[in-house]
Amino acid sequence: MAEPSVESSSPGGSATSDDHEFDPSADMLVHDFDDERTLEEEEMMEGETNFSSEIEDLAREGDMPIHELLSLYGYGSTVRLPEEDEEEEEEEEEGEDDEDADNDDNSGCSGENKEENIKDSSGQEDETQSSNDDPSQSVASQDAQEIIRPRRCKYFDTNSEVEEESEEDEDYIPSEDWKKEIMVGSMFQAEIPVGICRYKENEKVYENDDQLLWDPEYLPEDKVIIFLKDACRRTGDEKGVEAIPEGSHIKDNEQALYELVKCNFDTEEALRRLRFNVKAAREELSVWTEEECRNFEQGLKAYGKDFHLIQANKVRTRSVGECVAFYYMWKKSERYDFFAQQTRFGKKKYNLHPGVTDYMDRLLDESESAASSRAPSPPPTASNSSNSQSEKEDGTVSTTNQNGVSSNGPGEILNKEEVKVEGLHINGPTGGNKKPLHADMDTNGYETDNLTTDPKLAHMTARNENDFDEKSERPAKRRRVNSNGKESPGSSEFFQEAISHGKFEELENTDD
Amino acid sequence: MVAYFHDPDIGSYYYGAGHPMKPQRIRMTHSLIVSYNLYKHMEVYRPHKSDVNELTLFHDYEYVDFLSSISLENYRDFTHQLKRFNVGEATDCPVFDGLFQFQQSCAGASIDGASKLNHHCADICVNWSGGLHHAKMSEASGFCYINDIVLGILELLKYHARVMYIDIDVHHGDGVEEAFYVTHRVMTVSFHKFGDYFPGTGDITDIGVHHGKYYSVNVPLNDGITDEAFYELFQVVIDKCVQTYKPGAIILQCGADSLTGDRLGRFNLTIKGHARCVEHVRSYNLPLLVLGGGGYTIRNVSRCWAYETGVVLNKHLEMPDQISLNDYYDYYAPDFQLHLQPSNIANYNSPEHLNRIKIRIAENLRNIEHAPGVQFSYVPPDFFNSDPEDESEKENNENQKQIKDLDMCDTAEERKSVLVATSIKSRELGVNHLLRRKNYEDDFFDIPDRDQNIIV
Repeated sequence: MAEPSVESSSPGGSATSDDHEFDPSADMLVHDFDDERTLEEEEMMEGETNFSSEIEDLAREGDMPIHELLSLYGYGSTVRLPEEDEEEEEEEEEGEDDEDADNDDNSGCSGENKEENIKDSSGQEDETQSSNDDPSQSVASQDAQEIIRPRRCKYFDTNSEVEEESEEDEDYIPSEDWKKEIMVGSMFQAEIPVGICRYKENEKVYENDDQLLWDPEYLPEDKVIIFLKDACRRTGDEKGVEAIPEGSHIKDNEQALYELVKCNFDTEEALRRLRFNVKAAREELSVWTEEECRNFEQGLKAYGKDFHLIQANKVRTRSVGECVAFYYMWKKSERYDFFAQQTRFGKKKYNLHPGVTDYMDRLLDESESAASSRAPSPPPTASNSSNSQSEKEDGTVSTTNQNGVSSNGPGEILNKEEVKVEGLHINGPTGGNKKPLHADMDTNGYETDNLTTDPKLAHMTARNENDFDEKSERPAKRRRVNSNGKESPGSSEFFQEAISHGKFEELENTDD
Repeated sequence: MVAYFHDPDIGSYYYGAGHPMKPQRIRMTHSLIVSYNLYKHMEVYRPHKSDVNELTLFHDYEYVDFLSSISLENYRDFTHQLKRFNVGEATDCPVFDGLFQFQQSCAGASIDGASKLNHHCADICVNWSGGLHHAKMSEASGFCYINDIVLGILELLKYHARVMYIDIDVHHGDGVEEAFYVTHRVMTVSFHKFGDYFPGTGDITDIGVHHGKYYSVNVPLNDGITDEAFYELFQVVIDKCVQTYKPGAIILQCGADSLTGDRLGRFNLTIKGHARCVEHVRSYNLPLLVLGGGGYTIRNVSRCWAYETGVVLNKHLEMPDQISLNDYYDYYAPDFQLHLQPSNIANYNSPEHLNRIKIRIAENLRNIEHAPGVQFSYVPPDFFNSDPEDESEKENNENQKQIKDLDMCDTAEERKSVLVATSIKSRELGVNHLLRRKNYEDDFFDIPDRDQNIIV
C-alpha cells in the first residue's frame, strides 16, 4: 500500500506521516545550509521560519567534528587545536542540546547559542600554558571581524536541558551550554595606559564638559534651607497648581538651586529670578494639551508602546523622549485608569521579541473584550490593591464593585490571582519563581492591579474614552497629599491644560 | 565631598515594549533623592556626552561607528553588523531611539566621575546611569552597549597603579573582567549567581591569565542568598582583597537586580543588606566611584539607589521609611515604604558552600601577597589636561603623617589596623563629607612584583 496521505494521519501518527510533516523542514535545511552564508537570501525568508531553520542548522554544525567545522569556515588545517578532545566533546554535547531545545517559546533565545567560535579554554584551568593561548589567538586574529561568541539571552527562561550521551566520548561531560568563556586576545582586552601621571600639589584644575548644577560648599546648610523655603513661598499671585499652599516639608528644589548657582550664590538675586522665570519656564513645554493627550492614547491603542511610531504618527508636536516621559507619568494617572478600562491595556501579553508587537493580536483582543464586556465582574477581592493608592489617605475602601461592566473579561480572573499573590509580598514576584516575561506583570514588574474595575468608574460604559462628560459621575480621586501637607509640584504640569478645559472635576485629580 | 552625576534626559530613553531594562528607573531614583533632601548635600553635575574618541579608548572603532550610525529607520540595512555586534531585534540589545546618545551619556558620566576622583575634586562620585558591565570591546551584551565601567577604570589608571572593581550585580561582570583579564593593574571582584544563568562566566576557577592571574576574583552563588550570609561573605572577601591588593581607587557597581523580588534576579537581599556592602566599601576611605547596573523591578531599584546615595552621604539613618511625595509616588504603592522585606524563597547557599568559597579565594590571594608596583618613566598626557611634571620632586620628599602607611605594614593585622585607624580618624573628625584625607603617594611604589617582571 502506498504511503498514507497527510490528511489521513491518525491520532496515533504513523511514522511516515510524521516524516511527511518533517519533509519541508529537511528541504529547508538543505537550502539553509547553503544559504547560511548569504545573508540576503536568509533575509528573504519569513521571520518565524528563520529561527527554526537556523537552530536546526546550528544543531548540524554542533554535531560536526571540529575539523569539519573549521574547514567549513575556511580555516582548514591551519589551526592547531588546544585540548582537541575536550572541545570536541563539549561541542558535541552542546550540539545535541540545541537539537532538543524547545523551539516554541524560546526560539529567540536558543537561536542565539552559536557555537561557531573556538573557545579559549585557558581561562578554565589553573595551569595556563601560553602555548595554548597562541593558536586560539591566531584563530581569533584571523577571524578578527567575525567572531560571534556564544550568547545567551538574558531575560528568557532557559530551557531545561536535555542531557544526552554522545556515542563517541570517553568522559561524559554533562551538557552545559549556558557556560561561556572569558575571551583572551587583543580584541578583547583593554589597552592599559602606559605609565602613571603624577599628582600635583593643590591641583584642582579640572576642565571637562560636565555642567555644575549645584555646589553645597559655598553656603552653609541653614542658609540653603531658608532659601528653599523662600523659593517655594507663595506670593498669592500664582495660578493653578501653584496656588496650593505649601506645607512644612521643604523639599530640595533643583531649579531653585541651579538658579542660585547661576547667580553666584546670591540668594536675593536668585529669588528674584525665580519668580520671574517660573512662569516662562513653565509655559515653554511641560504642559500637554488635551489633544496631545488624546492623540497619545490613540497612538498607544494603535501601536502599543512603540513610542517611535506614536511620535511619528500621532503626537508630532513632542519628541520621542517627551512621549516616554509622559507615558511614565500618565500610566499612574486617572486617565490611565479610564483608558485601561476599555482597552485592557497593560494586560496584553507582550511577545518575546521586544520591538515587535503583534498588532493583529491586539486588535482581535480588543474586539474580543468589547464583546465580552457584558460579563459580570468578579467579587471585590480584586479591588483591594488597585484602590490602595486612593485608600491610603482617604480610607475609602470600596468593597462593592458596582461596575457591572467589565472591559477586562477573562482578564479579571487573572488579575485576582495576581492580587492575592501580591498581598503576600510587596516586592514583586513571590516564591522565588521567576515569572516569565509575558505573565501577569506590567512591564515594570509591577502587578497590573490598577486597571481593574475601579468602582469609581462605575457608571462608565466602556466605550467612549473621549467622552469626558462622564466625569460628573466620577467621585473625585483625592489628590494624594503626604503627611506634611506638601504636594508634588512637578507632575501635575502635564494635566494643567486638561484641568483648565474643565474636563476634570477637581484640580486635585491630577495625581500621578 | 560627594559628586553626583545625573542627566535629566536619561529617563526618556526607552528600550522597547516588553524590555526589562528601563532607564526610567534612574529618573525615579533621582526623584527620590530630591524628595529625601539628599540633593543639596552633593555637588551635582550634568555629565557630558562622551565622544567617539573617548569611547574608542576601549571599544573597537567599527563598533562605535556602527552604534552611532544606526537608528530605527535604517537599522535593517545593517544585518551583517547587527549580527556581528549582537544588536537588534533578536537579541537582548535592541535598537531604539537615542541609543547612542544614551550610552554616550552613561559613559560620559563615569569618565567624568573618574576624572574628578583623579583630580581630588571629590572623594566619592555617584553615577546611577552607569554600571553597564556586560558590554565588550566590539559587542553589545546583556542590555549593555558601551562599557562605561571600563572607560572609567582606564581613566583612573592614569593616576592610580592599582584599581579595584567590585560588582554586586546578580550577573557576573564579564565585560569588565574580560577587559582586564590579563593585567594586574585592575583587580575585578564579582559576586553573582552562577549556574545556568547569564552570562555563564564567573566560576570560582576564573582567576585571570598571564599577568592578570589571581587578579580576577569570582564569587559564584546560588539562588536565594540572604542579607547576613551575603554581607558576611562580602566583608571577608573584600577585606582580604583590599589588604592584599592595596588599590588606589575602587569602583563599585551596585546592580540592584540582586535585590529580592527582582524581575530577573534570584537573590533575596533587602535594600539594607545591599547597602551594607556600599557602606563597607566606603569605610576604606579610598576614592570611590559608585555606579548603577542591573535592576528590573524599577520601584525597588530607585528605592535601593536612593538609599545608597544616603549611605554614601552618611545620612541614610536620617531617611524616614515613609516615602515622601515625589513625581513618581504612585509607583511605590501599595506600601510607600522605602525598605523591602525578604521573601520566603529557599536559600541554596549552604554554609559549607560559602566556606569553601572563602577558603579558595584566600588561597588564590596568597599568590599575590605583595601588591605589584609600576615602574614609570613616561608620563602620558592626561586626557583633558596637559600636565608638566613640576611638582614630582617636591612630593617625593614629603613625609607621611600620623597614621602609619599601609606599605610600611608587615603583617595583615597591621594593615588592617591602619585601615581601621584611618576610618576611625575620619569619623572622629566628624567628617560628614569625606575630605581629602589620604596622601596618595603610596598608591604606587616600586616594589617589584614577586612573580612577574613588569616592563611597562
